[in-house]
Amino acid sequence: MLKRSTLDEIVRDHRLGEAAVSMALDLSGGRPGADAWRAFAARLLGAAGVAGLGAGAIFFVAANWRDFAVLGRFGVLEGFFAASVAAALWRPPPHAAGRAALALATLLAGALLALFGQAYQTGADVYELFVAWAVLALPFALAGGSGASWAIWWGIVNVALALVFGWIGPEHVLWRIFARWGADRPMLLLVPCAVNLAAAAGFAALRGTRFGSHAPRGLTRMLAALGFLYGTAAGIAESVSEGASHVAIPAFAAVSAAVAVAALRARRDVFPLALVIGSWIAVSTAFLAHAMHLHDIGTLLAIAAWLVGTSSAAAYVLMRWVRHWDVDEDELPEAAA
Amino acid sequence: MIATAAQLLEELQARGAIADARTPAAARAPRERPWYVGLLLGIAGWIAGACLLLVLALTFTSHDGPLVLAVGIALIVAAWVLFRADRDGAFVPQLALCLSVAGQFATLLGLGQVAHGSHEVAGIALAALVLQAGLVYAMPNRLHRAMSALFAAAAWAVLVRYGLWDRSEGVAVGSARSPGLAFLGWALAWPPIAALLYYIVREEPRWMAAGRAAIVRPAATGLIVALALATLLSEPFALFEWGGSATIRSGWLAIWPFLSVFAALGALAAAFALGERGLAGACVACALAHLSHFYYAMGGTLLVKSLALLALGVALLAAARVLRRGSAP
Repeated sequence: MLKRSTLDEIVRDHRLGEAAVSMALDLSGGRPGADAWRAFAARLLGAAGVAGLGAGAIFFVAANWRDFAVLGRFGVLEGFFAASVAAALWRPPPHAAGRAALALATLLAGALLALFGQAYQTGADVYELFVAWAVLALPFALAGGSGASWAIWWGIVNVALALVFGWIGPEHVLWRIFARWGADRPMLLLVPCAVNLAAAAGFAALRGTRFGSHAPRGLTRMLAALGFLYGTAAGIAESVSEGASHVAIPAFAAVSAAVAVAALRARRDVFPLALVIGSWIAVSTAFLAHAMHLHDIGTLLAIAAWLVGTSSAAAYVLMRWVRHWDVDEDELPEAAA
Repeated sequence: MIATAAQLLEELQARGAIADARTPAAARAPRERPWYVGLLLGIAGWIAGACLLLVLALTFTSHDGPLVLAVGIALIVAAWVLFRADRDGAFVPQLALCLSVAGQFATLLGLGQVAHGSHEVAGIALAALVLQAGLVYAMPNRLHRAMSALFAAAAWAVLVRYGLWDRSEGVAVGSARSPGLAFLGWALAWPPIAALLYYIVREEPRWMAAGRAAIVRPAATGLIVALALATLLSEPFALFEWGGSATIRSGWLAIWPFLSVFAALGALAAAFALGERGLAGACVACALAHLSHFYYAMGGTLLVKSLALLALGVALLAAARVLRRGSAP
């Protein structure tokens, strides 16, 4: 489908009349017909149905918590889980039913783990639940073979990473281990940053291979964005804290430089460069605001000027790359296909 | 299906719609700004605008209403001049966005200080509606037009709310004096916006041919975001309560999040019809958030809720299957 901005340019440059515009919209697939609307509604209803079944199964166990014995609770959830796996085997991916069933099985695997922890009072931390969930759900992500299934799996992994490296405090045993190594919070935040960026690089490398369906551009962008989110948080945390170890900012700068060099050499996607630039605008603004204490008109004006200047320069260079590189922003995410 | 501009031009020429399929120089002009560059600029512009607004707040007192109003209008005019002076640049439009954000807030603050009436929230909302509608037309910048359309729709919802049934004291007051009036307020606020979007979608060839795409398309973007998200403004209870005193409200109030789900689905349909795939994803996220809100607001036992969800899931999957069969060749 042609982008509307391209159509707008054609209409403007050739002074098309209403009938010709209608023709252009129809020829370029710009106006969904009955079949397109039906397919769109079917996809939407299917996804909503899977979500409804998953949530309903989990809440059904919660609703009957007191009435079911331990075996009954597990029986209900395992019944739904087995049915999901059976459905995926009956209509395996890339069939839509198989992908939906695997997504449901992934959700139910987490519910089963939570139920296990609740029923037997294992004393496990929440992060342990998410780590175990990620391990158990990995086969489903592999079998799903799609960007959507990997996005769900990386969502679970990122909750686990956020809990381990961003949430637990000094009283936790893991923190004592980290502290023994001399790691502070900004340094710890670099771990999920590195994991996500490594994953983004790995999936990007899969593109063009026979595993390309696992790695749509939307997934690599999501992982890169998550990586830079953690890196930016690390940079801001270090720039505004007094007793920080001054490791996180140089390390994040090195990672950012590596990503920028790789993107500039590949000349395929401007998005990673936008992440690099946006992250450093955020870190530098936080540093300035902290250093100048934001207590008078002059410092507020300086921050405003810094933001306007850096973001304008960012837009200038990013748009230069967008115009000069052969970037196809219309590439569709595989999950929507 | 035709996938490139060159193919489309050739086909239009073959059908006699255009005389010459060669692409004019203007059509090879700068490429459209990707969404992530627009997002970066929008966030930076808004924070810079907020800093400027703080500068104004530190400079003027609450007795300087007319002066604040004048400064606000001057900032908006300055932004308009800058947008006109350099439409395709990077620095000047960003500076203009920053000035405009500060100017809009200052104008509304100044108006609020000048006119202390019994319905001041409704009055300021009316002023905001007029201001934003004017900015959609006047400001020659896509990002600004989309944001102004969003805020115009939000101002309309606030105007209906505080003009019809809610009190003016404070923001997001949590009591509905009359559920019937609140429902009427929702019906007055959002169906007209949905109808406007329907009209925009239906008349797309007409406004494209009339050369209005630069105004109507970003306005449609703003209205889609408003319909997906801003219906929260019309719900007759506080969404967030500060100080940790929040209580789960249940029962008949659940109808409002449910209405918001439908509004988000309507926005989703409009985004799909206009080929806005990124916006369609945002609409799905909004619909899910409203649905979660509905789940917590809905009365009834957990058992009833879970059974309702299971039944809904089965029904939706069955409907999807029927639709897929219907679309099979």
